[in-house]
Amino acid sequence: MRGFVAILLILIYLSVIIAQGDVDIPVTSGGARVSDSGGGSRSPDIDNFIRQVESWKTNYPDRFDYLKKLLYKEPFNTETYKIPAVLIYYLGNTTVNRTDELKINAYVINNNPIEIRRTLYLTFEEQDPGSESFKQVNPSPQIIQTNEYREKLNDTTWTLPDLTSFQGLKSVGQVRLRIKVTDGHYDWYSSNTTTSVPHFYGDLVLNVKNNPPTLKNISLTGPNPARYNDPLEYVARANGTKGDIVNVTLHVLDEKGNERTNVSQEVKVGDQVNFKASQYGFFGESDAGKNFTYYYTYGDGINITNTSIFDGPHLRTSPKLWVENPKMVPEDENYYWWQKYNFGVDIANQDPGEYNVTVTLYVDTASHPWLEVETKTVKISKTPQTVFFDAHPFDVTDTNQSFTYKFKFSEIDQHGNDFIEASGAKINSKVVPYAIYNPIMVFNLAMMLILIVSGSLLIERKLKRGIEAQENASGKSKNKKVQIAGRSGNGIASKISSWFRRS
Amino acid sequence: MNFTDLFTVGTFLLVFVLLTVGPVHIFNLKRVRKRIGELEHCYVSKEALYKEYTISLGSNFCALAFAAWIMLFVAIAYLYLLVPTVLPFSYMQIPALVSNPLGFAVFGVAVAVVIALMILGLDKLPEKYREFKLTEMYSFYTLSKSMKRMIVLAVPFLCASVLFSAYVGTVYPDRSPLVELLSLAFLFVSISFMVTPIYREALMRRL
Repeated sequence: MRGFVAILLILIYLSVIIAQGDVDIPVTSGGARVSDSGGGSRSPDIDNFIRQVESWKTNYPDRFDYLKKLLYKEPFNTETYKIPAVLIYYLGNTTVNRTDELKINAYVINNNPIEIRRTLYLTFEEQDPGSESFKQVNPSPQIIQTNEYREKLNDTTWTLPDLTSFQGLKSVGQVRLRIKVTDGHYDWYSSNTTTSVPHFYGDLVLNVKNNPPTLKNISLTGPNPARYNDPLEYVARANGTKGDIVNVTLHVLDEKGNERTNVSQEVKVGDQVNFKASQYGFFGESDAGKNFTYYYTYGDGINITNTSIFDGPHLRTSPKLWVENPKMVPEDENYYWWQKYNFGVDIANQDPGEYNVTVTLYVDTASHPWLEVETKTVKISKTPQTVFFDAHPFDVTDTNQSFTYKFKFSEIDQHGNDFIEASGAKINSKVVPYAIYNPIMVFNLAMMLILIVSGSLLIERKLKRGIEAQENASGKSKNKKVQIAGRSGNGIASKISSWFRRS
Repeated sequence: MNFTDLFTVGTFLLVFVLLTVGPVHIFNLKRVRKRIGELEHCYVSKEALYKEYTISLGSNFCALAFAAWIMLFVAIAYLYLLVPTVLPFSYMQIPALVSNPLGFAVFGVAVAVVIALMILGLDKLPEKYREFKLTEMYSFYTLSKSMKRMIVLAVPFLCASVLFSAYVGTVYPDRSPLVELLSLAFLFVSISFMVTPIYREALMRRL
């Protein structure tokens, strides 16, 4: 009974409030105040009120919906409502490159008082070159709320984030942009607004151009001629407008110029395309001995260009070698640097038939890393044969150093290598190849002594220091010169004997 | 005292003789000039002294003495520059020479040419610097026949020294301290023969 009386009292209280007028909820910085127009005041906390409304929403959904319906206010529409002006604001040049960065804005002026303003929904639309229709640029409309305008100026701008360039354009030409606006009652376009103010457009018409990419530094790396399984690599560098993606297709042509295969890669401008023959399996064993050519097509989705045709690779015949038993025998067991060393390797052709194979001997010491000693071309068959090199591979700087040697072949062997390597020995530290009694040494010393003594005699004959000091002053030397000249013959023997004759 | 110590001592003696022979020679000439001045009671110029004082020794002797001086430096180069046992640089570090069959001769002749050019360069000095002319060194001294023979004998002794040094070179990097010492000994004997008149004059001459 008490509860019933309490509810009755609350209802009476509410009916009195509703009957007396509107509820005004002034919002202040300090919180909320509720006042009735009938005098007296209460100041319940706005948070309590919100909590109360939320509890109604949860506990009495039907009543709450009814309350919402009760409080719904029909959109205000009067004859004084002015359609807001919507324009495109763009600062840049209207001729742009496909990859140029763009900043396109929507500019809205809404001179209606805030009470009658409506929420605007902006949608950018784009008409591509050659297209009849417009497509939506921003995936969902941009909402301009009634309170988002600047005071007094009543305008607002919004930058379109979804269109920063025309990089994805499939063709170049005129691109038309406009803004579709809706406020719930009216739909209209920015095209409906005309203006002569610079940088403001109803329809923004951009002339989009394209800088087609180019392909530079085209090369085919690897040995030439190559084996079919050599690491061949087609390399090129894509140049063009920064940020572009270039689709590069390599076309490999056979000897008749027919396309054998093609493969594509997409690279950024500035990057390099690498087509590894082994990775794509361009060539097989059956291609040995054939000559191929290639060219590229490349494009950015708009322009597609062909290069000229380039030579390569030239694949050589690849007989399979059998290589075994590298050996080295020095002329003398002392391993002197000046001696001959006999190097040999057993070699055969694994397939029937004969081939010419080039064999090169290399020796490696600290002083001469992998010095090429000698090259031989040998005809190989099924029957193994030994290829010999009788060489002087070292010099005096190699003394007291260990050496390694290898045979390099023009073809690959049974292990897939084109060389076979083996350790040698330590070269003797002795430097001078001759003993003191060696005729060469005797000749060296004798020649040196003869040259020095005879040179001294010649100089003395020229300087005449043996007589000049005393006799020059008295004039004797002149007379003696005459006498000696009279005694001397003209032959070489006479001249030599005159060197030893006293002046 | 082992071979190495003897070699070191010998080297120091050799350097001592080489460094002192020049000053001793100049000292001898100054002393002669001073004595003549004292006897004549007048000033004797260097030019006048050198003009009157020099003695003709004969072309063959002068040629051989010249050869001996060149050979002396060749022998020194062979002993100290053929192998890098004494000095850090040597003939053995010149691969083009070592591997050349005539490398030893080229090395010796190259040294001889350099020394000959230096001696001939000194020979171009003015007359008042005659004491520096190696070609006329002996012309200021009275040399007996035996003394001349002794100086000439330096040439074969130096040849022997070169021969021993060459042997040391042929066995390098092995070493033969005895042969090195022998080479030095022959070298030292040779230089002793060559400088004897100068030291003798300095020590014994009474004017």
